[in-house]
Amino acid sequence: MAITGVLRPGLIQIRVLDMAAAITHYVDRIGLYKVATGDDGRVYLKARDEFDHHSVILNPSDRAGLDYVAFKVDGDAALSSFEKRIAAWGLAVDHVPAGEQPGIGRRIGCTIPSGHRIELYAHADLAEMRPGTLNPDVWDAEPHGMEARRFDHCLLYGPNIDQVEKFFTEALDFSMAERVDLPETGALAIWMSCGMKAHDIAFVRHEEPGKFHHVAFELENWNDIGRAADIITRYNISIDIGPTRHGITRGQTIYFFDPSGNRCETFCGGYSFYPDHPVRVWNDKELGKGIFYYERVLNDRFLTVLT
Amino acid sequence: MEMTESGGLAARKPAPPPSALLASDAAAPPHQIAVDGTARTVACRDGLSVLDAFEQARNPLAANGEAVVRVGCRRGGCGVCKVKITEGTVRTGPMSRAHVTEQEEAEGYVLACCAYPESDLTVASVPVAPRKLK
Repeated sequence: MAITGVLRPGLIQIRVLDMAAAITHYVDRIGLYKVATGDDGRVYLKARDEFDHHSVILNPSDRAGLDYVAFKVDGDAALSSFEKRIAAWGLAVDHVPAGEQPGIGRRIGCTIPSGHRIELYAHADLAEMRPGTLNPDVWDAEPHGMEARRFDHCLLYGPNIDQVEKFFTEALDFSMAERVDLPETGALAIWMSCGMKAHDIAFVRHEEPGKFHHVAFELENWNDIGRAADIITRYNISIDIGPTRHGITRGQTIYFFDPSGNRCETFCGGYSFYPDHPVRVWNDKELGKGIFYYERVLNDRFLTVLT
Repeated sequence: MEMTESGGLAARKPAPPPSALLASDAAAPPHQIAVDGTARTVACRDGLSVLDAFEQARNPLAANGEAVVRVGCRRGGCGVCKVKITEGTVRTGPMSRAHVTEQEEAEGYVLACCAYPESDLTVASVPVAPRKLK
């Protein structure tokens, strides 16, 4: 299968209340690397298996939450094409010039019906520290902390997720991998893929627009989830739930909070998705197992605590 | 590339374990936190937040049967542990202004996870509309 159009979630900008504490969390604990600090105080981070300049942007703010998530597309022509398609779909498109942040080319952005800002971009400079390409070692710099390999996906809460599903499938060519359908109210949650991952972005229906549930970083294996759990306890990081597994996506996982209360996930696994696969559906009878396959019960904090 | 703050030798210098907080037990008796409208108090050791104290006391229930404080992110971002300090003083860490405005803070509203008692306290539950899945 050739992945064209939208390649992957590439950037996520998260608001933090205490930058020094946030850097300790994302760099020393999760295992990202600091790339640069901007004149406006934003801090740029990357994971060790990413080739691009950066993937995570920490924005100093007096309120926690998500500023935007940006997807990388396969070239400037694709970017221009998506701009037309988003406008034709019915959303206003704005432009962010290259140079707004280091290492990233021009971006286009829009606010989707859930109230979240979604951006697309085609160019990122290659990172100084990136995986080798000639007789490459498994890593150059020795991994640290939870050894996160990449920014992987995010889960967002907001209204109108039926419209959000249509936007991602019709305007950006995403596929539906999995969904939760309740008998009386319809889709409660959707997991969508732009490649072969079980999800690249997910949404849960929620009254307040623009809410942030979690940012996820991929680890190599289940042992690494256990090590992440050790780090979470050792450094008194606020735990949410895990280690456990999701029925939905089958990911093995642990959830915890950053020092500003934004939820983070480190996970591994999950099935491979192809766009010709049928949608997997969960209903209210087995939703507990869908969310937490081992506990088999819903957890109020996990479902309703947001930034 | 700055490996920073991390990756280098400094990153391997251990932070004090949470149990280091126990060392203050002998030095200062815990502050008592009373819950408005109940006879129940919880003890809060120096260095712990109001929310820590409630979590350690297994989160006693208010008269209406709801938890006095809901436990959310524990880090000042989600807002579900909002309470009002009706007596006593606290020191606060950064709290998301989406949940406690400056005016509310002046009126005694805090996120329990970011409030560290400096005296015995009385706190009142603040009904934060629970988010529900529908």
